[in-house]
Amino acid sequence: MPRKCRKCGQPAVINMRQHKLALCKAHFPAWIVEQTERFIKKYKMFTHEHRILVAVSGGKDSMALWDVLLRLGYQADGLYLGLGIDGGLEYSDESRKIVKTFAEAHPQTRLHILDIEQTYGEGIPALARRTRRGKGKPCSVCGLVKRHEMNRIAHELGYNVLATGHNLDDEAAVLCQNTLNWQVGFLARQTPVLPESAGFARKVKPFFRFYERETATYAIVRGIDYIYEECPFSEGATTIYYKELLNQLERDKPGAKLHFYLSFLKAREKEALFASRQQEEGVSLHPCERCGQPTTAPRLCAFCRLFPEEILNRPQEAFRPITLQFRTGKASQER
Amino acid sequence: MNENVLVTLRKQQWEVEPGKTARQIMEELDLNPENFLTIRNGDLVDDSTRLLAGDHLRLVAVISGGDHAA
Repeated sequence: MPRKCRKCGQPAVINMRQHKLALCKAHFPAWIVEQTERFIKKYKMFTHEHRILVAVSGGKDSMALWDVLLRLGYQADGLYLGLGIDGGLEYSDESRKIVKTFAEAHPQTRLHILDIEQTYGEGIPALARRTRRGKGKPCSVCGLVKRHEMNRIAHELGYNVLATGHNLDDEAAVLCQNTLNWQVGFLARQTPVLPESAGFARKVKPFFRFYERETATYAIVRGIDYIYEECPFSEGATTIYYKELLNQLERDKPGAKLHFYLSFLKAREKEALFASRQQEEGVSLHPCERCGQPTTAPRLCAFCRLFPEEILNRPQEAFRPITLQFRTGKASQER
Repeated sequence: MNENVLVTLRKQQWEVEPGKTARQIMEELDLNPENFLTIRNGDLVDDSTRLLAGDHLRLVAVISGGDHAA
Protein backbone atom coordinates (compact mmCIF):
# COMPACT_ATOMS: atom_id res chain seq x y z
CA MET A 1 0.00 0.00 0.00
CA PRO A 2 1.37 3.43 -0.88
CA ARG A 3 1.86 5.91 1.94
CA LYS A 4 -1.14 7.92 3.05
CA CYS A 5 -1.40 11.62 3.83
CA ARG A 6 -1.11 12.15 7.58
CA LYS A 7 -3.92 14.72 7.50
CA CYS A 8 -6.61 13.05 5.37
CA GLY A 9 -5.56 9.50 4.47
CA GLN A 10 -5.50 10.13 0.71
CA PRO A 11 -2.45 8.84 -1.25
CA ALA A 12 0.64 10.91 -0.41
CA VAL A 13 2.62 12.68 -3.15
CA ILE A 14 5.66 13.19 -0.94
CA ASN A 15 7.18 11.65 2.13
CA MET A 16 9.46 14.05 4.02
CA ARG A 17 11.52 11.54 5.95
CA GLN A 18 13.33 14.26 7.93
CA HIS A 19 9.97 15.33 9.39
CA LYS A 20 8.35 11.87 9.36
CA LEU A 21 5.55 13.54 7.41
CA ALA A 22 3.76 12.30 4.27
CA LEU A 23 1.22 14.62 2.61
CA CYS A 24 -1.22 14.49 -0.32
CA LYS A 25 -1.53 16.86 -3.27
CA ALA A 26 -4.04 19.02 -1.38
CA HIS A 27 -2.29 19.24 1.98
CA PHE A 28 1.32 19.49 0.79
CA PRO A 29 1.05 22.90 -0.96
CA ALA A 30 -0.92 24.25 1.99
CA TRP A 31 1.88 23.05 4.31
CA ILE A 32 4.53 24.78 2.17
CA VAL A 33 2.61 28.06 2.30
CA GLU A 34 2.13 27.82 6.09
CA GLN A 35 5.77 26.94 6.69
CA THR A 36 7.03 29.75 4.46
CA GLU A 37 4.95 32.25 6.42
CA ARG A 38 6.32 30.79 9.64
CA PHE A 39 9.95 31.14 8.46
CA ILE A 40 9.36 34.71 7.21
CA LYS A 41 8.11 35.69 10.67
CA LYS A 42 10.55 33.60 12.72
CA TYR A 43 13.61 35.01 10.93
CA LYS A 44 12.08 38.53 10.62
CA MET A 45 12.52 38.58 6.85
CA PHE A 46 9.82 41.12 5.90
CA THR A 47 6.24 42.22 6.51
CA HIS A 48 3.24 43.03 4.32
CA GLU A 49 4.37 46.68 4.31
CA HIS A 50 7.60 45.89 2.45
CA ARG A 51 8.05 45.85 -1.33
CA ILE A 52 9.72 42.59 -2.30
CA LEU A 53 11.66 41.88 -5.47
CA VAL A 54 11.83 38.16 -6.23
CA ALA A 55 14.75 37.05 -8.40
CA VAL A 56 13.08 34.70 -10.89
CA SER A 57 15.01 32.44 -13.24
CA GLY A 58 12.23 30.20 -14.57
CA GLY A 59 13.51 27.39 -12.33
CA LYS A 60 11.37 25.51 -9.82
CA ASP A 61 12.59 27.30 -6.70
CA SER A 62 12.13 30.90 -7.78
CA MET A 63 8.81 30.22 -9.54
CA ALA A 64 7.49 28.39 -6.49
CA LEU A 65 8.67 31.20 -4.20
CA TRP A 66 6.97 33.88 -6.31
CA ASP A 67 3.75 31.85 -6.24
CA VAL A 68 3.85 31.32 -2.47
CA LEU A 69 4.56 35.00 -1.70
CA LEU A 70 1.66 36.10 -3.92
CA ARG A 71 -0.66 33.56 -2.27
CA LEU A 72 0.36 35.00 1.09
CA GLY A 73 -0.61 38.46 -0.15
CA TYR A 74 2.86 40.04 -0.16
CA GLN A 75 3.78 42.82 -2.60
CA ALA A 76 6.10 40.58 -4.59
CA ASP A 77 7.30 41.57 -8.06
CA GLY A 78 9.63 39.54 -10.26
CA LEU A 79 13.06 40.35 -11.67
CA TYR A 80 14.27 38.29 -14.60
CA LEU A 81 17.82 38.65 -15.91
CA GLY A 82 18.34 37.45 -19.49
CA LEU A 83 21.75 35.80 -19.40
CA GLY A 84 22.11 34.95 -23.10
CA ILE A 85 22.58 31.22 -22.50
CA ASP A 86 21.57 28.96 -25.38
CA GLY A 87 23.50 25.70 -25.06
CA GLY A 88 21.45 24.19 -27.92
CA LEU A 89 18.34 24.34 -25.71
CA GLU A 90 17.48 28.04 -26.09
CA TYR A 91 17.75 27.97 -22.31
CA SER A 92 17.39 31.71 -21.67
CA ASP A 93 14.57 32.14 -24.23
CA GLU A 94 12.62 29.26 -22.69
CA SER A 95 13.05 30.51 -19.15
CA ARG A 96 11.97 34.03 -20.14
CA LYS A 97 8.77 32.63 -21.71
CA ILE A 98 7.97 30.70 -18.53
CA VAL A 99 8.45 33.76 -16.34
CA LYS A 100 6.34 35.98 -18.63
CA THR A 101 3.53 33.43 -18.77
CA PHE A 102 3.44 33.29 -14.97
CA ALA A 103 3.31 37.11 -14.74
CA GLU A 104 0.48 37.21 -17.30
CA ALA A 105 -1.59 34.93 -15.06
CA HIS A 106 -1.00 37.13 -11.98
CA PRO A 107 -2.17 40.68 -12.72
CA GLN A 108 -1.35 41.84 -9.18
CA THR A 109 2.38 41.52 -9.87
CA ARG A 110 4.94 43.25 -12.06
CA LEU A 111 7.82 41.71 -13.94
CA HIS A 112 11.09 43.57 -14.55
CA ILE A 113 13.30 42.19 -17.31
CA LEU A 114 16.91 43.11 -17.98
CA ASP A 115 18.81 41.54 -20.85
CA ILE A 116 22.50 41.37 -19.91
CA GLU A 117 23.74 41.14 -23.50
CA GLN A 118 21.70 44.15 -24.68
CA THR A 119 22.70 46.15 -21.62
CA TYR A 120 26.38 45.33 -21.37
CA GLY A 121 27.21 44.17 -24.89
CA GLU A 122 27.93 40.56 -23.92
CA GLY A 123 25.95 37.65 -22.55
CA ILE A 124 27.33 35.37 -19.83
CA PRO A 125 29.08 32.84 -22.12
CA ALA A 126 31.01 35.57 -24.01
CA LEU A 127 31.81 37.37 -20.78
CA ALA A 128 33.15 34.18 -19.20
CA ARG A 129 35.35 33.50 -22.24
CA ARG A 130 36.76 37.03 -22.36
CA THR A 131 37.46 37.45 -18.67
CA ARG A 132 38.48 33.84 -17.94
CA ARG A 133 36.96 34.30 -14.50
CA GLY A 134 36.03 30.90 -13.08
CA LYS A 135 38.61 28.99 -15.15
CA GLY A 136 36.38 28.21 -18.11
CA LYS A 137 33.16 27.66 -16.09
CA PRO A 138 30.71 30.55 -16.53
CA CYS A 139 29.01 29.88 -13.15
CA SER A 140 31.38 32.21 -11.30
CA VAL A 141 30.92 35.19 -13.62
CA CYS A 142 27.19 34.43 -13.88
CA GLY A 143 26.84 34.58 -10.08
CA LEU A 144 28.81 37.82 -9.89
CA VAL A 145 26.69 39.50 -12.60
CA LYS A 146 23.40 38.29 -11.12
CA ARG A 147 24.23 39.40 -7.58
CA HIS A 148 25.37 42.85 -8.72
CA GLU A 149 22.42 43.48 -11.01
CA MET A 150 19.84 42.19 -8.53
CA ASN A 151 21.27 44.52 -5.87
CA ARG A 152 21.40 47.46 -8.25
CA ILE A 153 17.90 47.05 -9.65
CA ALA A 154 16.30 46.43 -6.24
CA HIS A 155 17.92 49.65 -4.99
CA GLU A 156 17.09 51.76 -8.06
CA LEU A 157 13.46 50.63 -8.19
CA GLY A 158 12.92 51.21 -4.47
CA TYR A 159 12.45 47.64 -3.22
CA ASN A 160 13.15 47.03 0.48
CA VAL A 161 13.79 43.32 0.15
CA LEU A 162 15.39 41.06 -2.43
CA ALA A 163 14.16 37.46 -2.17
CA THR A 164 15.85 34.49 -3.81
CA GLY A 165 14.67 30.89 -4.11
CA HIS A 166 17.67 29.25 -2.43
CA ASN A 167 16.60 25.99 -0.78
CA LEU A 168 18.20 23.88 1.92
CA ASP A 169 20.14 21.78 -0.58
CA ASP A 170 21.70 24.95 -2.02
CA GLU A 171 22.64 26.19 1.43
CA ALA A 172 23.93 22.85 2.71
CA ALA A 173 26.03 22.32 -0.46
CA VAL A 174 27.67 25.73 -0.09
CA LEU A 175 28.21 25.14 3.62
CA CYS A 176 29.79 21.75 2.93
CA GLN A 177 32.10 23.17 0.30
CA ASN A 178 33.15 26.13 2.42
CA THR A 179 33.68 23.96 5.49
CA LEU A 180 35.81 21.41 3.68
CA ASN A 181 37.96 24.28 2.38
CA TRP A 182 37.74 26.32 5.63
CA GLN A 183 36.60 29.41 3.76
CA VAL A 184 36.02 31.38 6.94
CA GLY A 185 35.09 34.60 5.16
CA PHE A 186 32.35 32.88 3.15
CA LEU A 187 31.13 30.97 6.20
CA ALA A 188 30.78 34.21 8.14
CA ARG A 189 28.52 35.65 5.43
CA GLN A 190 26.26 32.60 4.91
CA THR A 191 22.88 33.39 6.40
CA PRO A 192 19.20 33.26 5.37
CA VAL A 193 18.82 36.99 6.07
CA LEU A 194 21.46 39.51 5.08
CA PRO A 195 20.52 42.89 6.57
CA GLU A 196 20.18 45.97 4.37
CA SER A 197 23.31 48.10 4.19
CA ALA A 198 24.31 51.44 2.70
CA GLY A 199 21.06 51.88 0.81
CA PHE A 200 20.90 48.31 -0.48
CA ALA A 201 17.98 45.97 -0.03
CA ARG A 202 17.83 43.27 2.61
CA LYS A 203 18.46 39.83 1.07
CA VAL A 204 16.33 36.93 2.19
CA LYS A 205 15.90 33.25 1.38
CA PRO A 206 12.39 32.25 2.54
CA PHE A 207 12.80 28.66 1.20
CA PHE A 208 16.08 27.97 2.98
CA ARG A 209 14.58 25.21 5.14
CA PHE A 210 12.88 23.30 2.30
CA TYR A 211 14.57 20.44 0.54
CA GLU A 212 14.93 20.77 -3.22
CA ARG A 213 12.53 17.85 -3.76
CA GLU A 214 9.90 19.81 -1.80
CA THR A 215 10.10 22.93 -3.97
CA ALA A 216 9.94 20.74 -7.09
CA THR A 217 6.93 18.89 -5.69
CA TYR A 218 5.20 22.18 -4.89
CA ALA A 219 5.73 23.46 -8.45
CA ILE A 220 4.41 20.24 -10.00
CA VAL A 221 1.39 19.92 -7.71
CA ARG A 222 0.45 23.57 -8.24
CA GLY A 223 0.83 23.21 -12.02
CA ILE A 224 3.54 25.88 -12.14
CA ASP A 225 5.54 25.58 -15.31
CA TYR A 226 9.30 25.65 -14.79
CA ILE A 227 12.36 24.88 -16.82
CA TYR A 228 13.14 21.19 -16.22
CA GLU A 229 16.31 21.28 -18.25
CA GLU A 230 19.37 22.05 -16.24
CA CYS A 231 21.46 25.09 -17.25
CA PRO A 232 23.77 23.72 -19.99
CA PHE A 233 26.79 25.08 -18.13
CA SER A 234 25.96 23.39 -14.84
CA GLU A 235 27.21 19.96 -15.95
CA GLY A 236 30.04 19.06 -13.63
CA ALA A 237 29.33 22.11 -11.45
CA THR A 238 30.79 21.89 -7.96
CA THR A 239 27.42 22.60 -6.35
CA ILE A 240 25.90 19.52 -7.98
CA TYR A 241 28.78 17.38 -6.76
CA TYR A 242 28.21 18.46 -3.15
CA LYS A 243 24.44 18.10 -3.42
CA GLU A 244 24.81 14.51 -4.62
CA LEU A 245 27.28 13.81 -1.85
CA LEU A 246 24.89 15.18 0.78
CA ASN A 247 21.99 13.22 -0.72
CA GLN A 248 23.98 9.99 -0.27
CA LEU A 249 24.20 10.88 3.40
CA GLU A 250 20.50 11.82 3.46
CA ARG A 251 19.51 8.45 1.96
CA ASP A 252 21.16 6.64 4.86
CA LYS A 253 20.41 9.18 7.58
CA PRO A 254 17.16 11.10 6.94
CA GLY A 255 17.42 14.66 8.20
CA ALA A 256 21.23 14.81 7.96
CA LYS A 257 21.20 17.82 5.57
CA LEU A 258 18.73 19.77 7.66
CA HIS A 259 20.62 19.04 10.87
CA PHE A 260 23.95 20.03 9.27
CA TYR A 261 22.66 23.44 8.19
CA LEU A 262 20.51 24.27 11.21
CA SER A 263 23.34 23.33 13.60
CA PHE A 264 25.58 25.73 11.71
CA LEU A 265 23.03 28.53 12.10
CA LYS A 266 22.69 27.75 15.79
CA ALA A 267 26.47 27.87 16.27
CA ARG A 268 26.58 31.22 14.46
CA GLU A 269 23.80 32.81 16.45
CA LYS A 270 23.85 31.22 19.90
CA GLU A 271 27.59 30.65 20.21
CA ALA A 272 28.67 33.72 18.22
CA LEU A 273 30.77 31.65 15.82
CA PHE A 274 32.46 34.04 13.35
CA ALA A 275 31.38 37.14 15.32
CA SER A 276 34.89 38.63 15.30
CA ARG A 277 35.25 37.83 11.61
CA GLN A 278 32.01 39.68 10.81
CA GLN A 279 33.26 42.75 12.68
CA GLU A 280 36.53 42.70 10.71
CA GLU A 281 34.66 42.36 7.41
CA GLY A 282 32.30 45.20 8.24
CA VAL A 283 35.27 47.50 8.67
CA SER A 284 37.07 46.42 5.48
CA LEU A 285 34.06 46.98 3.15
CA HIS A 286 33.75 50.29 1.33
CA PRO A 287 31.68 51.51 -1.64
CA CYS A 288 32.85 50.88 -5.20
CA GLU A 289 33.96 54.17 -6.78
CA ARG A 290 31.68 53.71 -9.80
CA CYS A 291 28.53 51.88 -8.68
CA GLY A 292 28.62 52.38 -4.90
CA GLN A 293 28.05 48.73 -4.04
CA PRO A 294 30.09 47.39 -1.10
CA THR A 295 33.43 45.85 -2.03
CA THR A 296 36.69 44.84 -0.40
CA ALA A 297 38.68 45.82 -3.52
CA PRO A 298 40.60 49.13 -3.35
CA ARG A 299 38.71 51.13 -6.08
CA LEU A 300 36.29 49.30 -8.33
CA CYS A 301 34.21 46.26 -7.40
CA ALA A 302 34.68 42.94 -9.26
CA PHE A 303 31.61 43.64 -11.45
CA CYS A 304 32.76 47.07 -12.63
CA ARG A 305 36.20 45.64 -13.41
CA LEU A 306 34.56 43.24 -15.90
CA PHE A 307 33.58 45.95 -18.39
CA PRO A 308 35.34 48.68 -20.38
CA GLU A 309 34.57 52.31 -19.50
CA GLU A 310 32.61 52.99 -22.71
CA ILE A 311 30.03 50.42 -21.61
CA LEU A 312 29.80 51.57 -17.99
CA ASN A 313 29.61 55.26 -18.97
CA ARG A 314 26.49 54.83 -21.12
CA PRO A 315 23.46 56.97 -20.13
CA GLN A 316 21.65 55.85 -16.99
CA GLU A 317 18.51 54.78 -18.89
CA ALA A 318 20.51 52.13 -20.81
CA PHE A 319 20.71 50.14 -17.56
CA ARG A 320 17.02 50.28 -16.67
CA PRO A 321 15.00 47.08 -16.94
CA ILE A 322 11.77 46.85 -18.93
CA THR A 323 8.75 46.58 -16.62
CA LEU A 324 5.69 44.57 -17.60
CA GLN A 325 2.35 44.41 -15.86
CA PHE A 326 -0.49 42.35 -17.28
CA ARG A 327 -3.93 43.69 -16.51
CA THR A 328 -7.15 42.24 -18.00
CA GLY A 329 -5.13 40.33 -20.57
CA LYS A 330 -3.23 43.38 -21.88
CA ALA A 331 0.39 44.14 -21.08
CA SER A 332 1.53 47.59 -20.09
CA GLN A 333 5.21 48.27 -20.52
CA GLU A 334 7.49 50.99 -19.24
CA ARG A 335 11.16 51.66 -19.09
CA MET B 1 0.06 -4.09 -23.58
CA ASN B 2 3.60 -4.01 -22.24
CA GLU B 3 4.16 -6.65 -19.55
CA ASN B 4 6.85 -4.54 -17.96
CA VAL B 5 7.15 -1.09 -16.43
CA LEU B 6 8.70 1.56 -18.63
CA VAL B 7 11.04 3.86 -16.70
CA THR B 8 12.31 7.09 -18.25
CA LEU B 9 14.78 9.70 -17.09
CA ARG B 10 15.39 12.48 -19.61
CA LYS B 11 16.56 10.61 -22.74
CA GLN B 12 17.34 7.33 -20.97
CA GLN B 13 14.84 4.52 -20.63
CA TRP B 14 14.65 1.10 -19.03
CA GLU B 15 12.12 -1.72 -18.77
CA VAL B 16 11.75 -3.35 -15.37
CA GLU B 17 9.55 -6.08 -13.93
CA PRO B 18 6.24 -4.97 -12.38
CA GLY B 19 5.41 -5.35 -8.70
CA LYS B 20 8.18 -3.21 -7.24
CA THR B 21 7.90 0.19 -5.59
CA ALA B 22 9.29 3.30 -7.28
CA ARG B 23 11.98 3.47 -4.60
CA GLN B 24 13.02 -0.16 -5.18
CA ILE B 25 13.21 0.49 -8.93
CA MET B 26 15.47 3.52 -8.45
CA GLU B 27 17.73 1.57 -6.11
CA GLU B 28 17.99 -1.30 -8.62
CA LEU B 29 18.97 1.21 -11.29
CA ASP B 30 21.63 2.55 -8.91
CA LEU B 31 19.89 5.91 -8.66
CA ASN B 32 19.62 7.72 -5.33
CA PRO B 33 15.87 8.21 -4.60
CA GLU B 34 16.71 11.48 -2.83
CA ASN B 35 17.60 12.98 -6.22
CA PHE B 36 14.30 12.28 -8.01
CA LEU B 37 10.55 12.73 -7.96
CA THR B 38 8.41 9.93 -9.35
CA ILE B 39 5.57 10.42 -11.83
CA ARG B 40 3.38 7.43 -12.63
CA ASN B 41 1.30 7.68 -15.81
CA GLY B 42 1.37 11.48 -15.54
CA ASP B 43 0.59 11.76 -11.81
CA LEU B 44 3.09 12.63 -9.11
CA VAL B 45 3.28 9.74 -6.61
CA ASP B 46 5.19 8.95 -3.45
CA ASP B 47 8.07 6.52 -3.97
CA SER B 48 6.34 3.80 -1.93
CA THR B 49 3.89 3.39 -4.84
CA ARG B 50 4.00 -0.07 -6.45
CA LEU B 51 4.22 -0.10 -10.25
CA LEU B 52 2.06 -2.43 -12.36
CA ALA B 53 2.52 -3.95 -15.81
CA GLY B 54 2.11 -1.28 -18.50
CA ASP B 55 2.81 1.61 -16.12
CA HIS B 56 5.12 4.43 -17.17
CA LEU B 57 7.35 5.74 -14.40
CA ARG B 58 8.97 9.07 -15.22
CA LEU B 59 11.81 10.17 -12.97
CA VAL B 60 12.25 13.93 -12.56
CA ALA B 61 15.66 15.08 -11.36
CA VAL B 62 15.38 17.70 -8.63
CA ILE B 63 18.99 18.85 -8.30
CA SER B 64 19.87 22.17 -9.85
CA GLY B 65 23.39 23.50 -9.97
CA GLY B 66 25.79 26.23 -10.95
CA ASP B 67 25.83 29.46 -9.01
CA HIS B 68 22.18 29.33 -8.07
CA ALA B 69 21.59 32.98 -7.38
CA ALA B 70 17.97 32.97 -8.44
